[in-house]
Amino acid sequence: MTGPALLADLSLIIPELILAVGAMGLLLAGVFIKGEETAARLVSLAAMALLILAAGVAVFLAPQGGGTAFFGAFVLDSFSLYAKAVVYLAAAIALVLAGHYLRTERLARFEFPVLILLATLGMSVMVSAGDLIALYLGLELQSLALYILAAFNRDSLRASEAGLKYFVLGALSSGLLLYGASLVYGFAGSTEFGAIALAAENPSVGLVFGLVFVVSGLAFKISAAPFHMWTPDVYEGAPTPVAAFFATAPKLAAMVLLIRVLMEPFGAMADQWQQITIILAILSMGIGALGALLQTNIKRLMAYSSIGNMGYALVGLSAASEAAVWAVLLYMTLYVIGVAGAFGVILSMRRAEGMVERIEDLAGLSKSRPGLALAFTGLLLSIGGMPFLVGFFGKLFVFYAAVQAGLVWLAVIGGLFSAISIAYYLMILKRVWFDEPTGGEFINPPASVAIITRVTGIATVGLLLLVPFMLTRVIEAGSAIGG
Amino acid sequence: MSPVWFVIIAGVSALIAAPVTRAAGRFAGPLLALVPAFLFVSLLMQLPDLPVGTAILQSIEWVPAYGVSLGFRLDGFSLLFSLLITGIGTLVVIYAGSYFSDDAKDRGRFLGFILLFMTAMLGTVLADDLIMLFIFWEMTSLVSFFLIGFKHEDAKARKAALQSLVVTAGGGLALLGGIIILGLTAGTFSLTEITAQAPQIATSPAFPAIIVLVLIGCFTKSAQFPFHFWLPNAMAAPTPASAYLHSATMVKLGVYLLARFDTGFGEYLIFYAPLMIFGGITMLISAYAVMRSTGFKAVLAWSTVCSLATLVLLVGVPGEAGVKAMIGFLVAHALYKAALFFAAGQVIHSTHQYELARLGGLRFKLPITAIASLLAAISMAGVPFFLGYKAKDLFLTAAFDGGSWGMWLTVVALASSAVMTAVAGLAALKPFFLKPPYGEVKLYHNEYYGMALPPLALGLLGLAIGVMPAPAWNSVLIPAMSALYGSTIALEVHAAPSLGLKFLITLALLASGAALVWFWNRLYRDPDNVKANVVFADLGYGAVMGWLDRAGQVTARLLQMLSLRTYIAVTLGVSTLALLLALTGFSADMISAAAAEPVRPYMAVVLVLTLIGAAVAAFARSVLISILGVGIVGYTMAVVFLLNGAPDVAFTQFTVETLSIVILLAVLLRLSLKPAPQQSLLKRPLALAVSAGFGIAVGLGVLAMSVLPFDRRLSDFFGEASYLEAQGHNVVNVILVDFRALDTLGEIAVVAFATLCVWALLRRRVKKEG
Repeated sequence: MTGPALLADLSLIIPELILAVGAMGLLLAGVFIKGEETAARLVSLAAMALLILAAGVAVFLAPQGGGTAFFGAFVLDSFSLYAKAVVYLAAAIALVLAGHYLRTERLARFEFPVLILLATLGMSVMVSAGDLIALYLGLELQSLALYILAAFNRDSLRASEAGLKYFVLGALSSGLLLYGASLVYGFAGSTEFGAIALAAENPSVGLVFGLVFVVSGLAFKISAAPFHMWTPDVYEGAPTPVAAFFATAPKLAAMVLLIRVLMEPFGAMADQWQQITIILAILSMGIGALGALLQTNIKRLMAYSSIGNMGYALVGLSAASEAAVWAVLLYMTLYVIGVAGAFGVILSMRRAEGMVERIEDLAGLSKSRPGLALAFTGLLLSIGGMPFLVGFFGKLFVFYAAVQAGLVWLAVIGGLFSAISIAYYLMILKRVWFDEPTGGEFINPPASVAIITRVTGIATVGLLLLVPFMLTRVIEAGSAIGG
Repeated sequence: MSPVWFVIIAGVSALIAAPVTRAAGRFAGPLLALVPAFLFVSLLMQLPDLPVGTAILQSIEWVPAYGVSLGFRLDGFSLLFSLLITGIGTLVVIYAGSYFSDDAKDRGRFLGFILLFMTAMLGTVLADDLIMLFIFWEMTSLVSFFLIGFKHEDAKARKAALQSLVVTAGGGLALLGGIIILGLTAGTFSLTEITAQAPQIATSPAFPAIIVLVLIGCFTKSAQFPFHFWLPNAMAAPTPASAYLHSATMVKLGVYLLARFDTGFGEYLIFYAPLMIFGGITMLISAYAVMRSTGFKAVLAWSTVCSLATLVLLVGVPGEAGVKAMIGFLVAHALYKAALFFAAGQVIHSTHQYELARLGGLRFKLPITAIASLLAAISMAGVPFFLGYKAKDLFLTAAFDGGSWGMWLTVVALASSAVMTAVAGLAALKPFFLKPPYGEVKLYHNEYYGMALPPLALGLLGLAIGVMPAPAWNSVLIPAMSALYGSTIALEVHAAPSLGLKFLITLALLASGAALVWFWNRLYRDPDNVKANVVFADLGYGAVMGWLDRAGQVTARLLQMLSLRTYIAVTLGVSTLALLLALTGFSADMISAAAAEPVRPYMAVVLVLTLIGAAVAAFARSVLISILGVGIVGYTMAVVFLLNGAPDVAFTQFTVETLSIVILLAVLLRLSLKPAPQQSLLKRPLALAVSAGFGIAVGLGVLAMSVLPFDRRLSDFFGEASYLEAQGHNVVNVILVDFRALDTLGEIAVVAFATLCVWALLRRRVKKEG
């Protein structure tokens, strides 16, 4: 590769360079800063700054019309840029949510923000992957960082168990994915998505086989049922800010990757993979809705909620159209906002004696903390897709895409399960608004967490005004894939 | 003022309600009532701009890509609804200010919700775009949830709140489905345009689905059989909310939307027949239930269900007569029923007595309320010179002209009218004018003017329209009828009753109502009462919710297995199924591949070794032996590579295998391993089945794939390029050190790092021992 060509390639990956160099630099810096807590605090601040800087570069300084780098392995288009911006900001929010929690739980270590940065770098590569190698590289970088984050509270038996489970299953799914990728490479003769797309027009049994493995591996990453089983354990066992991170950025990145893999290289095989995504969608919606009904732990409940929500996104994806692409993108964005806020609320559930995470601990929240209760109401109902909150539009367009593609029955099933899921959100809200408080009041959440809950809470209503703007963004982003 | 402003002003007032209430104290009610009053007057001022048959349309582009626009529409019918919403809204706000006079915090919260509700209502009836309409529609459901559960210390209230939301929001979902299919069929979400192209839509195959879904949505909202049970339970709400939401406005939304659809689809059997059937059934059920109810508000609630059913039925009656009767009854009912609820609220508030049977003799203690409820009740009973009389007259006309449905209509109309009269008598006479059955009723406070004047205003309005019908009918009611009917409706309204058969029937109904009042005590004390209550209450709802609960339990039991082994088994099992599914259709390939495979004895030896390794790994009692077993499998794989012309891969495999075993053992030896409670694989059939299944699936896949022609592009390229470009004779070497030089460097680095780690492990171990 010649010098100018290399420079041209590097100019496309400036956000990734910022994250990669930044992560290495912070890892070194962390070792030399005296005092564990100071190091954690400084590195965390620097990591946030890097993430915001990277997001800024992705949004404002991206080259017009995008381009490809490293012989097509890295794709920069409106689709990946959109995903990157959301992923970076979601990671920054996770860091904001984490700071105070980690300090009070004596988990503040500078490796935490560095791991978040590395995971985010992995996601950034994932959403820009233009061939199977880049896909795997990004996915593994992300996963390895996440394995450690899941078990970050290594003195806790539950956290270690959750981390181990996640690691073993994750390794298994990576193995499946890799096996599938090598089959695809073998039968398409190339790892590059464009060439695979050509081969997919006349799919051989090898490609179909490879596709099944690849989709299974990716389904694990988005925690779609029946590959979802790690989710409740990890959400419950991992430190809450880690769960907040798990529920937001990686979900979006993996879904974006899934969209690209299914729509670009395997676009011509939609008939085959639609069957898989439909089954995954129905199972996820069902398990998400029914599994959540009897949960008593709010974090486990959020896990089931996220499983269900992946199901709704998959309903849209099953439509395999351009409208489906942007509908899922919008859905995931709104979901990330809602979940980030909801975890902010969960992080505010702290009594004098420590964190609590049972749903019944929320009883009477509307009396002790009306603002928080109101924000939680908006956030939960928005995640549930209640009309007049912004999450409704995510669901509406996802179902609409499915109906347009002739999958009316799937949309009907989705509607039924979302009615059930609204029921369990309402049961929480019933506790929040109508039940008498039990136990002590929550102590004041730190300003950082309070700001996140307020801002996202207001966003569930306020973003309604911005839906047209968001739509133009996602439609532009979606046109890069579906068109 | 364009329609959107009504919604915006109402919305802003809801936001500022709580702080204003805090500042204004006891005067908050009248002060905040200025907002709906202002909207009411502004709406009245729209009348001259809105001649019969016209509509003010306003459209704000919103999501052009999907044809969703903020479309508003103000025509005669939505104007009528808006007037009811803001007019009664004004009175409700005043009333609620007084109702919550003891608790400033509750008052602010309540007024905020009421005004928010008013916003949602205005939005629903002013929306032309169906998506917009739906959003506001669901907003009314949610606000209703908070208002029903307002007295949250009451378990019944909490349950009722959840129930009403589950029913109405669930129905809303059906409505949304109907709207989406309708929008896709029509290519637009605008109600105006959809009505215009109704005949084309009716020929679409999706038409039945649309109608059924919309009907479900409307029936849940307007509490029609089989979804009628939530409304009486919703009476747990504070009375001002009951008066406003569950009688005068929200529950009429279903009727509103049905009437809107009736304009376009009224002539289709699939649309109007369910209205008549389900409306009629609901009327009979509620008429029966009302005579069995004992609570003051329960009586009013069941009679409201009955009235809603009447409206649904009248929407279904084809032609002019139905529209006339529907509008007339709608307005009359809104006025008198809200007044009766207001009066009930005053009585309950001042006596703390919810049971109608225990009330009596309050006419001197609550004089204004007594007069107000008397006025309202007379209108409800259908006495001449009151608005209610004209409404009943139109109702009977529609029923008698009902064509092929005439018999059914007449029966339900007569039955329900008689019961209505009785309810009117009960609600007005029993608490105020009859002797209290169990001694004098204790009064906790005197009449509040804020709670007495609103019902009086409504009662007087009913009388005024009855005596002087022209202004109201000509400027509001008849334009509303015309807007619905699609062409101008001519109707002469006189104050005096026209004598004839219908007049006689009206008198007969009054008499039968009076008789029912007379026997009421005996009726509701009937021992079957309890049974009746259960039958007509929420049996079905309870069953569905119980089923859901059980489904949740079963799912939880199935899903919370928590063991990693099970997780892996499921993951692999599902992948196996997917693979087998993908392989269906390729069985011929597999057979031909198997047949084409030459028998090679040395391969058999290698395979036997592999199997032995696998068996050792699976059945060994100690982890260390298991690892060695896995190692054997790895080595035999390397041999397979070696024998199939890939010596480089084979040697890599040998190295990796050796290294990983060494590392694993090094790690394991450092841990103090307790012997794990290993179970023989044979005792775990699931594990055996899953691993065998996965292996078989992959094996079959490889078999099927081996039929495919070998893609020679890569090997040809490297074969040529190795010599021509890299001047090497050994292709493998050239690939490793030239074409893939960077990869090789990376691999070396990985191996080096791994070695470092191993070294660190082993060194510490040595130190420890030393």
